[in-house]
Amino acid sequence: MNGNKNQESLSGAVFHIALALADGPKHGYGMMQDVERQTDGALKLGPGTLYGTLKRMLADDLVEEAGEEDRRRYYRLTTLGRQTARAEAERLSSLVQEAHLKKLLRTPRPAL
Amino acid sequence: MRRLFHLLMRLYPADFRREYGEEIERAAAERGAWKEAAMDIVTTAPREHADQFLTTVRQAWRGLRRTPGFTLVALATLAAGIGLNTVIFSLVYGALFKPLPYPEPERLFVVTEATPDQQIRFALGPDFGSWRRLSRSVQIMAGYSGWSALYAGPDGAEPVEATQATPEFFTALGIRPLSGRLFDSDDDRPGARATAVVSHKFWERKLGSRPGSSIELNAAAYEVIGVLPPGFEFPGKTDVWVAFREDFASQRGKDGITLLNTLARLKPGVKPDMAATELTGIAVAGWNLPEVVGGFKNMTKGIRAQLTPLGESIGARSRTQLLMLMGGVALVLVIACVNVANLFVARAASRTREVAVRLALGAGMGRIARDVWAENLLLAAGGALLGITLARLLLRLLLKIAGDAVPRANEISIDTAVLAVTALVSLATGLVFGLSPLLFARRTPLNEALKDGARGGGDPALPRLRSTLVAAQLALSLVLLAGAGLLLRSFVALTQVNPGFDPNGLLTLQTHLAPAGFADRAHPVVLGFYRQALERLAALPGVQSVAMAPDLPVSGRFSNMAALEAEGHPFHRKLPMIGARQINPGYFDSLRIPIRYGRAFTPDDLAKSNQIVINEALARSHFGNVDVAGKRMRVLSDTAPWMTVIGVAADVRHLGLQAEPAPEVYRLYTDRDREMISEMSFALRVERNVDPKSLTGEARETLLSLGSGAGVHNFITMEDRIRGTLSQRRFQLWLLAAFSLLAVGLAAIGVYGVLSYMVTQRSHEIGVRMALGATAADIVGLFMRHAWLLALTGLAVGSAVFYWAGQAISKLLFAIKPTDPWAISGAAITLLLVATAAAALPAWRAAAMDPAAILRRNN
Repeated sequence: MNGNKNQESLSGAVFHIALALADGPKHGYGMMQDVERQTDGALKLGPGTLYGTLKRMLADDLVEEAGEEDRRRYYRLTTLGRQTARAEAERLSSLVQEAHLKKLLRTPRPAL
Repeated sequence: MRRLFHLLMRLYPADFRREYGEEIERAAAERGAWKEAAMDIVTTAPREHADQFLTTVRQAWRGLRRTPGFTLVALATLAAGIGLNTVIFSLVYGALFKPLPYPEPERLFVVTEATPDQQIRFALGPDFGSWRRLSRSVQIMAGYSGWSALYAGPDGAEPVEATQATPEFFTALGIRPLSGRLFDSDDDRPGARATAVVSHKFWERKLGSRPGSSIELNAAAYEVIGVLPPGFEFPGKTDVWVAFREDFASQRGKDGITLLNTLARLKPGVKPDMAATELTGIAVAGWNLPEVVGGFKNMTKGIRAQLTPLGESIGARSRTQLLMLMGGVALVLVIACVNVANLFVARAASRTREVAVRLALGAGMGRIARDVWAENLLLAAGGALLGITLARLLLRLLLKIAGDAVPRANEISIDTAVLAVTALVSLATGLVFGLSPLLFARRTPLNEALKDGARGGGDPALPRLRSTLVAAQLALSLVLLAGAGLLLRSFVALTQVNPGFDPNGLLTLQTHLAPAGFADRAHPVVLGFYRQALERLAALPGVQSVAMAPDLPVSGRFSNMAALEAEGHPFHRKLPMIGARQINPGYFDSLRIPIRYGRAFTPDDLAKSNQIVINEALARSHFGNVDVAGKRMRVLSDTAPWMTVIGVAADVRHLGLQAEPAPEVYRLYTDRDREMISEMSFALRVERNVDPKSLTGEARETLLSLGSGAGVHNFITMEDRIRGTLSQRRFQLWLLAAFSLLAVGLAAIGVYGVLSYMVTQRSHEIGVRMALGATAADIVGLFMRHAWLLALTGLAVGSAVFYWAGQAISKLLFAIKPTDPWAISGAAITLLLVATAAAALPAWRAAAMDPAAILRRNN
């Protein structure tokens, strides 16, 4: 299960959480809000989904706990998590460029 | 909504809830979307469970791989236990419990009859006739009976397994032909064309799969009208079925009735006891008819019909022995489990710290239990897979060796039902042996566990638990070993039974004659053949004399039964049916059957009629004493002539060595006999120093040279014949012996393991003792005393269990009581020796230790 995480595309929830944590540690509700903002409210991560995913990301060393504040647990990306998220972003970005080349997207926008 | 949310939280695995429950709830509260959060739980909970399951299994797998030695031994032990159980269970299931391969088998019954004094084991022909006509509870009733048939094949005459069956036979079973048709109501009409139905095997091997052939049976042509589907075997290994032509109803007024096997397919919804009541009523009414001969009226007083499910009736003979084997092999599995449990306890010792620390750090008992059980179940599953593979091989081997000793052998396989039971057994196995380390872990206090160090200590309960397990193993082994001992003693007792004649130096053979034409023309041919055969066989060099009878001793059957009464002794109902045998004058002399009173037949008697020789059992049962030469008897019929008893012969165990001699009557087979005997057996008494087998070729040549087209077969010495009757017992003896050997081996490993462990654990103490002057003998004694205490406890418990359980196999014993002291003490002594040997090695190792080295290491 471990090891080849980097080659495979990340599941949606994992990538969204990684994105949410990219600009610093957050607690659960913070992450949920951030994901909602990223997707213009299209994706609302339920708390069960969030913590189930966090648990697996912890096990895979993508995130770590960043202490408690006000009895809420904060999480942050690990180096591995950051690398993995970056690799995924690059993968997506190259896919988007490919879509432009093939005239799938009409108005080019700057990639991520 | 919030309450629902709380309720739904319970769907998560406890571990997950403990870790994240609060956070999830807080997040849900902050967002205020209880409904979405609740839905989210429902969709994510299964994933969390699967996750946890996989993690647990992965951990278990890693744990097992860390200790490959343990894993391999445990797997091998489980595979052996589960494999053996699968094999024996598939035997037992296939032979006894599997539904018969016919439509609605639960409606099929065998009908037999019984009087208050006697089980007849068959149905009486006239009753069958009435039932078939009158019964309202039976939908289809069919009769069948073995038929001795000689098949004239391309390679000469050979006997085939044949059955004569009434036309309803296949309809009752619900069997359809592979090709052609089966019997219909025209086939048993007098004068109808003779028709036969053949098995698929016979059709393929003997008829070259040709359609529409005709075969010659007993010198008459039979048209083959149909072929049965492959795998159809009933009754027994029948290859050819012919229509039963008999007017059953008219037999009441005659002096002979047919006994036949009867099969009934009940109407849907009819209970067997209702049907039995109805059939009994019909039978009783039949025997009260005015035309019934007086003797039959007496004999059938109190007659009643009994119904046995067909499947049960087929397996009945082997039931006890198969169930005993099942019990034996289950014991082996329990012993194997105990061994694995023992391994686990030993392994738990090395993990005492881990478990205690985890407990102390707040891991729940449930969590630890789950981890332990995951390992167990993984092992059990692995054991089951290996076991099933092993079982496939063993079953094939076993059926090859002993297929004939097991009913319905062709239906036995490792099928879904067997696999389901194996899976259950494995699961139970995993749970059972998983218990022990847990019990142990629960009671280990942390500080004890952490103290574990220089002294290799740990929980004092640990060795105690292991010792208890080993004692239990010894107890179970004793039960198995003593059971095998009982069977062995029975077997030896059987081989020492006096059969009533001298079986050494006898060659036996059978002839089968089927001359063409009607009985009155064929009869002289048959008689001429026997006369010549007797003369020529007796003239062979090395042959002293020849005995002739339709059935020789230990064949297990009588070709004839008669109901006799003794003159001056009012008819009493005990054993009205008596085995009757037509013999030649040299019979008693050739078989060396002693004549107790009066005389044997002489050749002069061939010219006289109405003379009989009876055996002691008959004299005792009908006259009340043995010296009855000169008294008279007759067939139970007012018009039958009286016959003079010229002699009383010693009892012969015709029905096999284990059966008490039955009452028997002998008379000479003479030229005046109306009955044509087409199958005859001969026994050649050879001279001393002659090997009976060496005469086989000459005897065969001689009989074939008589040129009457006789089939000549079954050349076998009388000693081999007797050995053959013991084959089933030999089979069960071997199996149980193998099981007990395995059990003893496992128990020995158990004892060895416990003692080795104890020596390691107490090495410090040994060092101190030796430094203080204990001798090697003292040290050996220290450990041997423990081993013996263990063994004696186990054996005492085992004896008690066996005393109680032995009754179950009393039916399989001969002349030996289940409480036989030799079997128990023999088993106990064997186990004591094995335990001693297994303990001696570690004990000696302890004594050979260098005290200085130990103490240096430990301090």
